[in-house]
Amino acid sequence: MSTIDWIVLTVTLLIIIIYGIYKSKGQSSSDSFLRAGREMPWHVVLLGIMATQASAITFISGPGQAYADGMRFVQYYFGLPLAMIVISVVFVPIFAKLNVYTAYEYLDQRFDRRTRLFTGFLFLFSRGVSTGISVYAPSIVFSTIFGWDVYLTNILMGGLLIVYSYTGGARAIAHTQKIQFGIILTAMLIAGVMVVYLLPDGIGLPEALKVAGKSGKLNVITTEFDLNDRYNIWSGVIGGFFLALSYFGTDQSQVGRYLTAKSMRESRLGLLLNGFVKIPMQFGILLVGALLFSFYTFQKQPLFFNETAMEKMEQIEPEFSQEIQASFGALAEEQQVLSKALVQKDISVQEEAIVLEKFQSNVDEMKRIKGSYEKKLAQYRTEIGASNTDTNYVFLHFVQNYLPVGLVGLIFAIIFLASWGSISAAINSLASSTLMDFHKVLIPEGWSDAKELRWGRIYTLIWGIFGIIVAMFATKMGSLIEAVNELGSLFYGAILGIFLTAFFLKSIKGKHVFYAALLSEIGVLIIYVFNWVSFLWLNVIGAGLVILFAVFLKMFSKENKSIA
Amino acid sequence: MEKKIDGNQEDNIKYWKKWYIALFLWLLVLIILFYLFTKKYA
Repeated sequence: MSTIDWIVLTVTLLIIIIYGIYKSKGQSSSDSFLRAGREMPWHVVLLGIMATQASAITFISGPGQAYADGMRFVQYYFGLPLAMIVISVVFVPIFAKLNVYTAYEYLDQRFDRRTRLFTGFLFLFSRGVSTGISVYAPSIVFSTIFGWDVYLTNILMGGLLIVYSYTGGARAIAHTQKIQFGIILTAMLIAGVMVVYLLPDGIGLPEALKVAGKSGKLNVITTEFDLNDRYNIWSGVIGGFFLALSYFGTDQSQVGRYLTAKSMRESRLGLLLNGFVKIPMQFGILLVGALLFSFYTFQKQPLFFNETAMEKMEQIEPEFSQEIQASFGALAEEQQVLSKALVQKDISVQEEAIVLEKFQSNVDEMKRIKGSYEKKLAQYRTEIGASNTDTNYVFLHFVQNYLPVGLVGLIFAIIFLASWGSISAAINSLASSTLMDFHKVLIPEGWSDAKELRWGRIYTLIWGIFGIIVAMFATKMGSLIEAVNELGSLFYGAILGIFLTAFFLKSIKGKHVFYAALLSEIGVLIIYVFNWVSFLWLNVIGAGLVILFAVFLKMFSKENKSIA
Repeated sequence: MEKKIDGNQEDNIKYWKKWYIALFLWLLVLIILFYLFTKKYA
């Protein structure tokens, strides 16, 4: 990276930290630290919600996902607008009326302490571990590309945000998220425009779309129903709805964002507008990936975008590496010629059909070769120290090799900003829940506002350090990382089931729902271990099982029998 | 109708219904546009 890029990167990050500290001024109450004094307008709430959900991986892996698998990933978000409606109608008024600090506080009032502690524990465990992964995932990409020490990168990625999260709490986080997300969207938009701008002479957006489409990368809607297929319209609308409902309705890292709103109206507007803009934004990020596929087809595609891993592979298996690179390279060169022929304006229908047939058979063959290379990489995963897929490296490869000086630093800065946005909200919510759902519940005596603020800060620090420690261990976890990424779906279903029972089944008591949630969790873990369905469906199943077991337990409980 | 909470017209069900219907229609429009996009290019 050039000196100018380093300056842009450093200055951008410094601005955010200084701005965060500036916004921390006058922090004197726990309400201000944990809920930003409930004074945020809808646009800060909206950007906070979006910045919390969008981690660094959203921006670096999103384009890579479309490059490898096409744009169908966008369907994962189809349930989100529907979930925003349900949360606005049901969840927001309840949280606002009860004036809660955490979502789990409500469960104490509706059911009992045991259910509150159990749900809070599920949240702390899953969010705590996944926060560590949010630190690790971009760190490993950075350290691979630049050769930085991964432990030091973890500290930079997860440590600097603690400065303003510790001093300024929810208010500093809300204001920094606003700036962070503004910079991120601007930089991504510029990157998207640059992909099209840097296409060869005579090739524009329509031609790039044609090549991406004929390569199967513009498959936005897929309608086949298959429980084991991760992304299709059915899993997206149904599974995605339940996932979004549990994430935005019951995960404190999100609930904590709209609890900062100055009124119920501002909370609702923030959530509903998130429903309007989320899908187009994801579509845009994935479109960058699909266009990158065209860009590299015209340029000659590399076999694998993680160049460090490729170099290591060449040392371990030199003969295999040379052979496979040669055969992939020959096809990539042929694709360059074929793609240019395909977009020629004066091509006849018959010629186009012939070119297209050859082009698509090459696409399949290149996919097969890349697949066998990735299989080989998986065998040497420990020696290579990287994943056997290159999804996270596609976009950054383009940034590093093709973008002009200055813009490279800005794009690398947004990776940090996106990480900070989601991690800071997560540690603030973990601190709120530890203080309000555990510490104050287990030791209820002798609390003052100053003491609450002090403990809020202590827990922010502890969870921040915990995230970094998990990230340090993550380097040794290898393939477990993918499983950890699905961790949320293992617990979200049960948590959502508890809340839905609380809202809609008034006759169900705490003891029914507590055991129902335990049984549901065991059921979900069994389904996950045996890999019966794709992970998005676990949210639906988990929530459904809690409701089913709770009704069942109620029917056979002693009270019911004695009434009969 | 729900009670007013913050003095705004925020619990005015008619007002929020418009938002909910608009968001639902927006989702439908997006799905239709994406479907046509897929048909055109895939």
